[in-house]
Amino acid sequence: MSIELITLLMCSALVLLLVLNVPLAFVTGIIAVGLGYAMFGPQVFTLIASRTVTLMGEFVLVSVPMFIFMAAILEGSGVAEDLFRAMHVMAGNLRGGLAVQTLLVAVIMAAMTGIIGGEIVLLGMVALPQMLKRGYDKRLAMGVICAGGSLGTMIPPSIVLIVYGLIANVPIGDLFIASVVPGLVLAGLYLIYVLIRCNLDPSLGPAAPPEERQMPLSEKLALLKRMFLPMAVIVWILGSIYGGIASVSEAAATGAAGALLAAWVRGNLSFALVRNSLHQTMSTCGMLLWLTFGANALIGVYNLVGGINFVKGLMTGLPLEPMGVILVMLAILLLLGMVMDWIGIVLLTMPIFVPVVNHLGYDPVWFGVLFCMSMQVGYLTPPFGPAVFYLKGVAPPDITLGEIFKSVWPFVGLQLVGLAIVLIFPQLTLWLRNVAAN
Amino acid sequence: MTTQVTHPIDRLSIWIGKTFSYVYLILIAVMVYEVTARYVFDAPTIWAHEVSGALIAIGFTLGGVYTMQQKGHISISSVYELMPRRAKAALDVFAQAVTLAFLAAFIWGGSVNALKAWELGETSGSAWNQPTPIFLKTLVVVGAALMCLQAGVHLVQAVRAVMTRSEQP
Repeated sequence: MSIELITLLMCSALVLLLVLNVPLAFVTGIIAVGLGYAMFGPQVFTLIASRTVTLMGEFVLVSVPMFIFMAAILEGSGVAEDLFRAMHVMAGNLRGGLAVQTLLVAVIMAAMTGIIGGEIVLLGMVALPQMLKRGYDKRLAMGVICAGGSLGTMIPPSIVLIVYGLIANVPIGDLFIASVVPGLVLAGLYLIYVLIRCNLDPSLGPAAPPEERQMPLSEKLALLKRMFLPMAVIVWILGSIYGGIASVSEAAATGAAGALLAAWVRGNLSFALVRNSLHQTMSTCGMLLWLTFGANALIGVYNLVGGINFVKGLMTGLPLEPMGVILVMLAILLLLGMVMDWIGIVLLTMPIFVPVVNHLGYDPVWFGVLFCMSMQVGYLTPPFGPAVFYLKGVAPPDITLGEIFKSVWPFVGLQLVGLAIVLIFPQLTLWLRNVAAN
Repeated sequence: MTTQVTHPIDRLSIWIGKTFSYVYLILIAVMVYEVTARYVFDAPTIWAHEVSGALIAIGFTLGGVYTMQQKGHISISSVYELMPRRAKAALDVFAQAVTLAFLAAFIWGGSVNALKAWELGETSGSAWNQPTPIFLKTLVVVGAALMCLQAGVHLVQAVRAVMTRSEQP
């Protein structure tokens, strides 16, 4: 069988099984099994199982459950509420102040979480009711939460970048540092957009009355005290990775310990919180990892039949400038982002794309950041927009899914602008890396 | 409305998921100990790395069983959601059959690897040199087998749903 035919059959089977609602982990698994059996006989099954064992030996994977657990503890211990109140004093007097405040909280929360979901749910519960009560434009409010809450995987720690780093074989620490500035660029674009819209039309986001923003000093101090440890956890994680004190996994584990300590000092560490956070970590990791096992098996078998070299040849043989090839790959990522979750996309495309990126002489860290930014778009775009689904889960019942999808379009536009900026100015991903290297 | 989970295999999967989720708490302790030992006492352990690897392997493998019980393995359900009830059930039967076929092949291959590791008495070859490979290779087979049981339960439920004609069974 020719490699062209194998590739065609494999892709058709993939699409067909996915449309029939078979879980992605087992779609990739069964295609690996089927293709491998057809080409090599049953001994390929041992290869699939041993690739799984090898993959689990990747020490950096330790950081995945640790970051998920840490975020669950911090989110469960009421940090978001405190942050929101602290920011209110700062940003309340602006037009669109509540939205600005929500974005600032989102950026700080993003430095605690590495996976999409929890942050949007929290912002939806804490910030959305306040913005609606204050008469904010519904669409603006919901767009800010979906776009801001998605930054969780853009600003380190980021599970998306960890998985990318594992596949692309680039240091996770480099990816984390490289993504900081582009993440802030996105947040900055959202902020500017909100401020411009609200100043052109103040009815979209009226400023808060001054009496509401006043907070007695004693309360400010209490807030500061409660915020100290969670902030220290963020600083420790980023600082220890950038400073080369700890590996990503060690930073994650000590960060998780720090989160437990912070929750305890704040007085809301309970057995129920720990237990629920553990259960959440268990099921999220079970999902992520079996998906990884399945895709890892498929990529292994496909590589064995020469598929990766075939696609690499196909991509580099395109009658395009190198930058054109990058644009084609980004377009594929954006399209896939509409229908698939980031984890499926990174596992299936990156083993093929990254060799092409390297071959063309581009920086795989930069490409990882571009990938992460395309996934930001993927979180918001229909029909499969996880951010929108998470917000729908906690939004008032009269808000429909369609309304939330309409609210995110301006932010999708901003994300594409951000993507273009990082595409044109790769230095944005390099600058902090150079600082850290010195 | 919460439905009581009565099937013993469902209960087994939930129990496994919840009980073994504590490996992550142990993992935190191990890692914090290692970092402290290295920086404060200048005496890194020879075992922390390998023990961490074994702990996450337990979490990841058995987490799959728990996720499966919770129907948390992600799929693309846009088309599925448009289907009538019995067509959905038929698709469920198909999805579970695919899952079982993959797991069967995985267990086949995994068992061959595990048996070989047991026969050879394979060890990790690190400074600590424990039979970690035997543990890991056996663990993935056990995890996949438990997932098979859970997929079997889902399969039977889906077949029953296909057979049921009325909306209110």
